[in-house]
Amino acid sequence: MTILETRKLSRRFGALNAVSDVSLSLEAGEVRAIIGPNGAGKTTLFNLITGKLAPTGGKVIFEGADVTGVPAHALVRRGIGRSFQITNIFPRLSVFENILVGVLAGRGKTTNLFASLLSFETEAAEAREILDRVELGAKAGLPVSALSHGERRNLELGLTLALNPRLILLDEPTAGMSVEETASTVALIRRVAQSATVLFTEHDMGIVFSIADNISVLHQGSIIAEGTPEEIKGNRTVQVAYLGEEA
Amino acid sequence: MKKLSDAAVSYGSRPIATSLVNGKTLTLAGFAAAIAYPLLDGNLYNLQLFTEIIIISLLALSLNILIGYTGLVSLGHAAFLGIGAYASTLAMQHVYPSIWAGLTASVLSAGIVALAIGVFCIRLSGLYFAMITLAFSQAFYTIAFYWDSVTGGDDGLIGIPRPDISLFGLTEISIDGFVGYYYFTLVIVALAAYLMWRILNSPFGAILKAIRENPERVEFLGLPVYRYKLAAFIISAAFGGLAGGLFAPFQGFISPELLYWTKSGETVLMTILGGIHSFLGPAVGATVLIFLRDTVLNYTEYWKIIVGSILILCVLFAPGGIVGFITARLSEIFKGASK
Ligand SMILES: Nc1ncnc2c1ncn2[C@@H]1O[C@H](COP(=O)(O)OP(=O)(O)O)[C@@H](O)[C@H]1O
Ligand SMILES: [Mg+2]
Repeated sequence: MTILETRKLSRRFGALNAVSDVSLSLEAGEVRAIIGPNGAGKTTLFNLITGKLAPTGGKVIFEGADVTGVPAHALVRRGIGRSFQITNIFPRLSVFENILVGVLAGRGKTTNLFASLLSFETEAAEAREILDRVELGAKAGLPVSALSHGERRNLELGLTLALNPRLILLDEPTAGMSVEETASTVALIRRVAQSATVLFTEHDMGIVFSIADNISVLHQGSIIAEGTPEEIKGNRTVQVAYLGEEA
Repeated sequence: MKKLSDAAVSYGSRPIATSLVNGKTLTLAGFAAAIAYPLLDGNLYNLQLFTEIIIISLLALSLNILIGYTGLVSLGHAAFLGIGAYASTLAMQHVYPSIWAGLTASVLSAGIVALAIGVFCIRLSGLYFAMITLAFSQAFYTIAFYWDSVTGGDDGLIGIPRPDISLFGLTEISIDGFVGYYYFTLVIVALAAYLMWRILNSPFGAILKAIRENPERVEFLGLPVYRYKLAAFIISAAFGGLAGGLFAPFQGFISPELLYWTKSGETVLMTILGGIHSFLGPAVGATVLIFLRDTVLNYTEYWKIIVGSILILCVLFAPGGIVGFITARLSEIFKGASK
């Protein structure tokens, strides 16, 4: 079953075609990597799929429905979650509060005006469980300012997982992480991928080749190749355009 | 380590639901003192001053729903004080002579007006939000000033009653006197503050804080930020309107001055002075500012210069306001003691 499809999705910034005529199709359960050099249009493509940016052309189809132009918050409700390349969390809430807010939102509890936050024990328990999953269980009570860069990346990921999305877009989830942090985050993504479809961008080819079922190569806004890790490794166009001299 | 805890205190990053627990005893003590006060001091002038402090505290607390919790600085909050005051007066004088009718009218009218203008204001943020709220409030000031037949124009409305309240039809209680109105105000404001506190410590309140921190991310939690902000704007206005509904019978007369932008500015000042990161901070700010005005006015009519200077010092040396400053010092002392 196809969970996500983009049809000739495009976005111009003035004269720049940041994303042009991108047609992708993701099977439910698939782990797909989008690779491409800086400025290739990966983040812009994510912004188009998640409703953060309006496309200048083309369509986004999610679970069979045309969702082009649907506001970001409504897409999240439909099951599309994302994390951001630049860590995007709640800096002056505690680590636990960050996740709790996500869980409450995911469970539709946030229109409750009068019940005490302390009475939401199920949600609090789920928040703690998510913190454990992203290895922040021991830091729950700390302010975000006390976290390292890698820990903040994990919190970002946790906030995305708190909503139980069926399709997860991860924009360079391991950027700036230490080797150990990267390893545990990769393991986490693998686990997440068992119950959700994952679309991610990543600069580390080792990671890409080890977790992606399929890879799409983006170059100057266009998809220039698509295939399994093996196919991409052997693709001449990709070697010339992207893997460059190394090949 | 010191840096960390300072940041935690002044940025209010303690767990959302427990942020007032430490202050609970203090709050109850303050409330008990407020109940006992009229019995201890028979001075009617002081009693009136305290009544004003209680009402304006409600105004500042309601403004802080926007400033401290949602991250929206409104420069037009006095509009709701004024709308509430006019609505309650007109309701009591022309519709039904009961304080409950007055208060209900003040809350409803402020809430409805907030809904109507919020649709425009909430689309903006930062400086633009501040400017548009200022513009709307000045528009309402102008309406109050020129709509003679309803608002009494420049002269305003006089002879505002303080009708007796009836308790379940069993007995009538007079709130006409200074003491009676003081207690009435105290009870209403305490109930309103409790309600606000409940709202701010609910999941909804947690989302407001999250919006203050990062509205974009809240959108990506699947929530329509716009509607939450609008709800906060309406709730804030309704409580501000209630303050107006209490203020009109308190003063006995009202005039357009109540809606003037300087009044809004003053409310912002007391809120910041008291501390926007604690629930009761703005009430402390209101108390200090009104006391200052009262004291300094005895010596010079330029009290605003004194108040302005204090505010500058406060912003420079205690950015968390009075309450933020005290909490930070206290937590230092306790940490020193526990070593
Ligand atoms: N909001 C924007 N306005 C103008 N240009 C933009 C904007 N966002 C991205 N771009 C441009 O679009 C191109 C693609 O950027 P981006 O999607 O961030 O690439 P990537 O994530 O692959 O590094 C870049 O040239 C970038 O400068
Ligand atoms: Mg990018």
